[in-house]
Amino acid sequence: MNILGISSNYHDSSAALVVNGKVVASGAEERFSREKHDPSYPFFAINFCLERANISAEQIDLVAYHEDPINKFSRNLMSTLVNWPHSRSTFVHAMKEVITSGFWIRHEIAKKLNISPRKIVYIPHHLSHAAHTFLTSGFDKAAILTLDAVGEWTSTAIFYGDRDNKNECIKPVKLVAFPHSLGLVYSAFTGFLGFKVNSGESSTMALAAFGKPTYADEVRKIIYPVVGGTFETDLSYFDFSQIDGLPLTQKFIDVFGQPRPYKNKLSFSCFNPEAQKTEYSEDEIRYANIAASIQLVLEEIVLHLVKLTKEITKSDNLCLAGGVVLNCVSNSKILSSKIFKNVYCPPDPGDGGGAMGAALYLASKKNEVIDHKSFSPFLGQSHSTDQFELMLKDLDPSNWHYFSRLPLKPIKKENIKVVKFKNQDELVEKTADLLANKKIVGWAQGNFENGPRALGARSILIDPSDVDLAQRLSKAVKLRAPFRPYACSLTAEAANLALEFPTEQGAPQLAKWMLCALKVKEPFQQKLKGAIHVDKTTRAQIVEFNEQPLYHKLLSAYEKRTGLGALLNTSFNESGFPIVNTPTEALLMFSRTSLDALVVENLLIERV
Amino acid sequence: MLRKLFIVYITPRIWKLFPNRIPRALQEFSIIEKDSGCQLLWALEHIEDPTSRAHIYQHVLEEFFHSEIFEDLSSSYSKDYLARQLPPREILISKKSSRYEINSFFAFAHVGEDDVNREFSYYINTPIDKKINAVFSRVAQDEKNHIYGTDDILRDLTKDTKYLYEFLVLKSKWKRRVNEIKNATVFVGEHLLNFTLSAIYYTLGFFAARTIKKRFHKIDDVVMLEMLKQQEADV
Repeated sequence: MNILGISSNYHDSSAALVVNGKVVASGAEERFSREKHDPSYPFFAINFCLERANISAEQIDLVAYHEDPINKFSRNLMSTLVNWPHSRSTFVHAMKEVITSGFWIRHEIAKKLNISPRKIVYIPHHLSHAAHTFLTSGFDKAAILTLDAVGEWTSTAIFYGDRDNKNECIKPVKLVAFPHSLGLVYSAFTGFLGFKVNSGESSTMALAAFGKPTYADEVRKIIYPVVGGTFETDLSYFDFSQIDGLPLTQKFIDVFGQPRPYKNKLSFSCFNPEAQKTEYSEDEIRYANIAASIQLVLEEIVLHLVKLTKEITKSDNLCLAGGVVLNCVSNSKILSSKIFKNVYCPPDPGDGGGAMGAALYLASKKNEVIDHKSFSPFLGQSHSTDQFELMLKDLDPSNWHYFSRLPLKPIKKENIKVVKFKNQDELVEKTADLLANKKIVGWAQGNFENGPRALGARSILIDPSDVDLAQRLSKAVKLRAPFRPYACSLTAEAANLALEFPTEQGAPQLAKWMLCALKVKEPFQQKLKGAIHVDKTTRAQIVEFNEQPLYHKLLSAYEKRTGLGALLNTSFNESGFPIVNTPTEALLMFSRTSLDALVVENLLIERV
Repeated sequence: MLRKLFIVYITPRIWKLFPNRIPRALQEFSIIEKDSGCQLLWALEHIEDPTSRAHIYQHVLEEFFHSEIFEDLSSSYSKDYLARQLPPREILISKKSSRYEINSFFAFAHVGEDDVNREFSYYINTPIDKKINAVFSRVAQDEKNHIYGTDDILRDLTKDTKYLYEFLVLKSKWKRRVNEIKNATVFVGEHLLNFTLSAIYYTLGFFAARTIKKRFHKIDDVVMLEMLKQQEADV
């Protein structure tokens, strides 16, 4: 049975295809459309999935849509009218969205795919999340916790997953109803701190490490756990009836002060923290303290929910999903609490993974045997470089600097060297040489990885010990604020040497896909200096040879040169753009930034 | 002509009266430029001639840069983050496009570049803000080359069929005019819809707000759980 999963109409639209219980393709629309967090109908992602499986739209048996638009409509309608008469603009905006697409999504999909609307099934949003994490986890039985902003009427949910239960393999146990939402509160603080809502939450988490949780008691008045239950929110601090601007009331401003204007730069830096400016402005300290406070309270509530989940389900296994789960610091707290023996989270736990979750859920409902081993983050598109290579000869790099926001030096055609490698080992050795010689290398190989983290398929790599290089990467390539730390890829051997694991079981599964922050051991802090935060943790990715042979080879080759199989790994994208997909997109970034070299499949393009 | 009059005489007055419209309007240019770059990026996959590919690559590079400078300009007028409001995307070209569709795409791109260049020249001379004039002036310089670049590619693609070039250009001009009328209709329609929805909001709210408030606060975890179980059963 061919089941297509679709998520769209909010943010991070995506598509995934499940064929006879196996996930054969998956991709976010943003990777194809080049619009970050693209909410549009995933036209390109669907085409890619069908092409990968070599089937046409007529051969799709069922389509699973990641939420129920009718329930979403009822929430939008009620939540806007509840603020009557102050919510006209949100009402108009929400209803227009419903009229133009949301409500008719079944017919829109049917029309676009030229299939019967009867083939389209709505899967509740949190059930899609739950299925995504549980059915890819490999656990036979597990507790499932989904932590999100909102999906239909639910913000948080606890499920129990049991593969042997054919009728109800994912059973809802406890829910938190909108508007009480951990995700919405964290996002409101993110907006307050001057970062983009639904994308700048990682900046709030990064900023938290510079502050002290002096506002924690104030935040606990806004969101607080309920004894024997979940949590509640004091809604008097928020005004969700605003379309533009922050959803905060005067009460919130009275407690936390004025919000940070987004254009004001923060002077915190995770590079060389001991040498950095010691006297920050009062406002900067206030923002960092507020970030630390909301982060602390988030961790408290998450732990409260994890305990509750354990009490209800009595399981040893926990599967996590939802946008809040991208908070790697909070995930580390879950691991070190040891409430659950095994903790799993897919690499794309947010709405991008909803399409796959919906398709898997429907497949399980149709009694398909779900093959969790078919799942991997590397289910995206791959490309040949034949035509790309031919184009390189005719490019004129002399004016590239003229079309960049960065102060680039003009280069001549002869300054660009292109080498095609016949042997993969030679390519790896040459790349390791470049990295050891302090070059910033763009690395694009094979199928792209799903989810917001670059896992070595579309990554920018540098020497992790060089702080100056990491700073150059932030300034001249990524246009990234210096308080945001980088992540790090390590071989399993290097990870055992350099990292402290939260439990005696060794490397946690979450560290396979950069979903937790791990403490770096004292002797290795210098070696990973460019990739650690001020709290001496790093967002680690532990690379196994059997899963990523080429990337593992590169890390091993690098180890021969430097003594540690670890590289600073950041996503291969420019500020404001999604991670690159095609070789041409990788080259565009090379042209517009100070990347020193680009390795696309077997081609090396280098500035000399 | 009407467009020119609108940009030169009306726009500066509207922007002066409602300065909060400036960032949104500039962001629209950023979205258009990026969309143009993306469409060309997709078109690139259909072009075999390496020289033409290199030209298109350069074109994409420039469009992305223009998008960024419009975005930066937009931010300079805005106090808050302005979420990108993407219009419904029109996919002009995809992997499955036929030869004719590819030719049509380049004709449409060529005519579009010509239109954009003309429009930008109006903004250069519009008395708004020197900062805005300067950006339009900078972008317009590149856009001129885009007209010739797309023209060259289109001529090359259609060289084997007599009058195909002329036909496609004419067809694209017609399509753009139809689109302009369609957009104007959508613009008017959207305002009418806003008005209607506002009327519904006040009427519905007047009669039902109290009941909805009561019901809204009654929706708790237990009700939700039942609802989800029902939904699950429906699947």
